[in-house]
Amino acid sequence: MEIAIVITLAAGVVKGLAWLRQRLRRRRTEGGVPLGQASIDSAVPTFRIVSLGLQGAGKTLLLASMFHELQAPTRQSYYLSAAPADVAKLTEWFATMADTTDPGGWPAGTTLSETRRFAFTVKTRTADSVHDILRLDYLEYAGELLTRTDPAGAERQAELFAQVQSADAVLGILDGQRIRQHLDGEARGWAELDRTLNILIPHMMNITCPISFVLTKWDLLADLHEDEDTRLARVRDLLMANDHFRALVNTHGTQRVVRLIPVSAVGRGFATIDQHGHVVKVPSAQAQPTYADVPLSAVVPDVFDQAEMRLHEEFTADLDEEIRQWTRRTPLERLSSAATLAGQSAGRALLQYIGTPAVTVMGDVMMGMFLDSRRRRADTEEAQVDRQVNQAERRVQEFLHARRRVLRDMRGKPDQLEGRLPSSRLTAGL
Amino acid sequence: MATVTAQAWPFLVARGRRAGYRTLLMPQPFLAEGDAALLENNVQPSGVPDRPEVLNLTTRMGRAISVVHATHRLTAADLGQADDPKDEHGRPLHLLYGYVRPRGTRVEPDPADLRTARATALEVYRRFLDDEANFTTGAGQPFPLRTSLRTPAESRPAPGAAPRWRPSLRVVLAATLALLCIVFLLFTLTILGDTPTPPKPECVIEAGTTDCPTPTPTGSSTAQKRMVGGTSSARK
Repeated sequence: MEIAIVITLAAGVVKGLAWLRQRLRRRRTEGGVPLGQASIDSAVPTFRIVSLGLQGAGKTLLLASMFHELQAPTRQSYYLSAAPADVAKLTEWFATMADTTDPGGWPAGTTLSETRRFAFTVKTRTADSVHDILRLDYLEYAGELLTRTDPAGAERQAELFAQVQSADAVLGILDGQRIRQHLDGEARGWAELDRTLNILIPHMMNITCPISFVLTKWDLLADLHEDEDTRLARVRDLLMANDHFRALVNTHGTQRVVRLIPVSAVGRGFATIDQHGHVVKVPSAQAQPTYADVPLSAVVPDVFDQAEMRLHEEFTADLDEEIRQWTRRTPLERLSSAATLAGQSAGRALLQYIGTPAVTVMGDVMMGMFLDSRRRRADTEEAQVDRQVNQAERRVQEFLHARRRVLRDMRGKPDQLEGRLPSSRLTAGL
Repeated sequence: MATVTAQAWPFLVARGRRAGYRTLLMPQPFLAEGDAALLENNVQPSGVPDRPEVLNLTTRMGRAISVVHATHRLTAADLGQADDPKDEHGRPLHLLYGYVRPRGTRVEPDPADLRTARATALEVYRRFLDDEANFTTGAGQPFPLRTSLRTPAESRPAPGAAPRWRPSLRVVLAATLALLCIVFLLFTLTILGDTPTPPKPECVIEAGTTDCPTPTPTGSSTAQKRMVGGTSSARK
């Protein structure tokens, strides 16, 4: 009798502890990170993007207008998000650029001390949640770093080249103003273009990541020909006439499509070239960036394809581990089950010890009810686990669906460009 | 207040019409020490024109310096031209100028010092624009600083000023040590207080005997008796 009471009490204590743990676990699940979310978060990759271009080529304005175009899901399912300080800086650059009250008020060039990384998150919305799809680490630097030859700049230059070598995608920035100068017969135009190619090509030849070429200040070439693709074809032919450029394109073209993407950070009619050769704003014109959203979309899906198998394996492993951890019964819970069983035996023994037939009968009924209640509770717990796992599966499916949609939208942008400007495709790719 | 009058060295970081950002005027000691990139790598442009900002740096040789710098957008008047100067892309030209001085504490830069530095910077910049490609970085010569520096070692109260008590590090350390000693003592006393002390012998064994004169029937007395007996044996 005493043993039975002790066992029953011990079982009660252990059950109480197990109940407490379950409450804690439930609270953690309900109030904290839901099951599956940790795996989804860790499945968001970060890709490093470097734009390679000389000073004045338009790297900063490209970045500002790219963010301006992609900060809201206007023409695509995704949008870019950044830290408040970065948003403030990018907005300031765009506002300075778009302000026509100061005709020469372009953002001052990036100084050597202003080298910084912009961290963007590509997000998308579904019915009731926002998903982070991937992160982009975009390096912003002073273009003169590429051409420094003095010892003072050597250290920063080496850092920059290391960034280029480890980048996941590289955008080669070609200054449209130089091409305009060349086509206008200015010797300096070709000299600078040739210099640009000679600096960019050796670095781009040594990398294996996806590359694209971005032709900035596309609006300054608007009067070359009324047909946009013919204009682009002239530029493409000019570039492909350079043996080194052609070799670079063909080398990378064996792996994937290499594109020439014309971009205008301000849009056609916003600026013109004055008698001094300076780019000046047209009074009361409105900035309407053209194709500024395409360069990122042209390289990111390729980068993702490259990393997809590894990402998928990591995601599956993380998710398996997370669910395994969540559904695993702790030693306390196993002890609790054993104690329940012991409690049931002890209860039956207790009733039998009392011994009267009526009590024994009543005890059997009570014991049956007790066992039924235990079974129901076990069923409830199991159902809860099943429900959580099902919710996690739905969450994961929703995330994967959202990611597929974003990548489809990204792939659509260069495809649309190509439909409009077939000359934007430099190689066929595989 | 103890102050010192020091020297400062002007500097200039700027880009030209074609040439990119670079150091055009460097404090002479930095040039000698081969620390030519220190300023161009650290001085950032300010959004507010000609507003002084102070940046504390340590040179490659371990010297603590303060860089007082400002950003100036070049105007037509600066260069005696009709239009505001621009680079070949149409962007405005800016000077990152200022001076370098030994690091001091709590000093408001004197505007006159910054004016001196800007005048020197403009002079250098005009020469640079004349021949960007062949320009070599100049060595900034020192000028007497109007800003009064108060270095940490000299931050003693001025004679006649009401002394303001500030606990030194030594005092804080001593107080902490004393507090720890008190806590340790209290802790030790508490522990000792809980430790059972050996009971006093309730009997004195006389020479030649092994028993207490008045034995008590309790267990503890038996234990005491055993203990005392042992002692007695040892004496033997």
